Amino acid sequence: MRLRNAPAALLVAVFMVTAMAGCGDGHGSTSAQTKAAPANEELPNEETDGRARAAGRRACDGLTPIEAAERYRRGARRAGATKVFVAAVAEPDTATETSPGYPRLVAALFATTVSPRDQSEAAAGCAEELAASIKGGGTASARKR
Amino acid sequence: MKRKFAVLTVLGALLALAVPASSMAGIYPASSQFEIAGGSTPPTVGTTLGSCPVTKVTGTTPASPANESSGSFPVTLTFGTCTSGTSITLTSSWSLTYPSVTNSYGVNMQGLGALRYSSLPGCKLSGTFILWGIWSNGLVTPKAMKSGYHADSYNTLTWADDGASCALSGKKETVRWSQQTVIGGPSGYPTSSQVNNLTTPAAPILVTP
Repeated sequence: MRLRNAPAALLVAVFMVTAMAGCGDGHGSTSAQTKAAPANEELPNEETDGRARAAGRRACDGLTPIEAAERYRRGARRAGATKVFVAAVAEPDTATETSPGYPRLVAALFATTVSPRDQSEAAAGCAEELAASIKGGGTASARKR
Repeated sequence: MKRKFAVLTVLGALLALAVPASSMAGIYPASSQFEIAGGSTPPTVGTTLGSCPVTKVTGTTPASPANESSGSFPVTLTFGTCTSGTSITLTSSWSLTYPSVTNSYGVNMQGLGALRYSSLPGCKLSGTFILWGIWSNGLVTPKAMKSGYHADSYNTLTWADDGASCALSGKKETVRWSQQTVIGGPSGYPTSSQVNNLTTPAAPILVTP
């Protein structure tokens, strides 16, 4: 059986072979080692980190951890957080809610609502406020003023 | 003549019954170095808080005749850049099992490791990662086509204290192993990675169920 349009068929074949050749990512180490994540859009700097942290503090200023969890649960779900994770944070069992790490956990939930580059600092700022609210010494932001 | 044919038929049937089903499974060709090349949309492993792409998996298929039955062999995973604030540590050697389930084209890779997130200091998510995927066999004729691999599974790891009190300590978290164009969004479509036979490039790496 002869192809009616041999040159076109040849072009298609060349295209398919080129596509199949692949274009491997080429990143990463050559062995299964720890792979830490740098900020992959741009390098963090003090100014950016400072703004993200301040934004985190403002977002959680005046809230208790459980209040903050309730406030940010919908946003976290919209950002792709799983139902199970959100429920674990916003509807915590006694062990979770009384854990010294609970403010950090709530802050991590809040951080899912901000851009990946700012998440660490935003979480840190929010966690500072939530921890201060538990200690009853006013908010971290108020003490800084 | 007819009696001889009948005897041979009976003997053949008995032989087929005697051969265990697992001996039908295998990975071919034997002793072949290969890589699962992540490509432009590599598979990723992670959770709500962040994920890491696997840009390459390399290994060597077992020597004959071990390759002619189901089994497992060591593989090495290479990670790309994780989402911001995420890190992954592998704490044991990893292996690939073929097929992962009898009579399937699934394979799984597993080993120990931990995920950490800078947005949640004091916690780590650790345990046995079990990453299942579908092996799509390539062809030699009528057209040369390489095999493919598509990642798609869930398993759970456990939160633990990591230098501080972790509020979720002891609780399980779902870890997703996936490969699609949109991660975590409401829409997207699955993609796959090419499997390259580095020993004999023209021969696809085949998994038989």
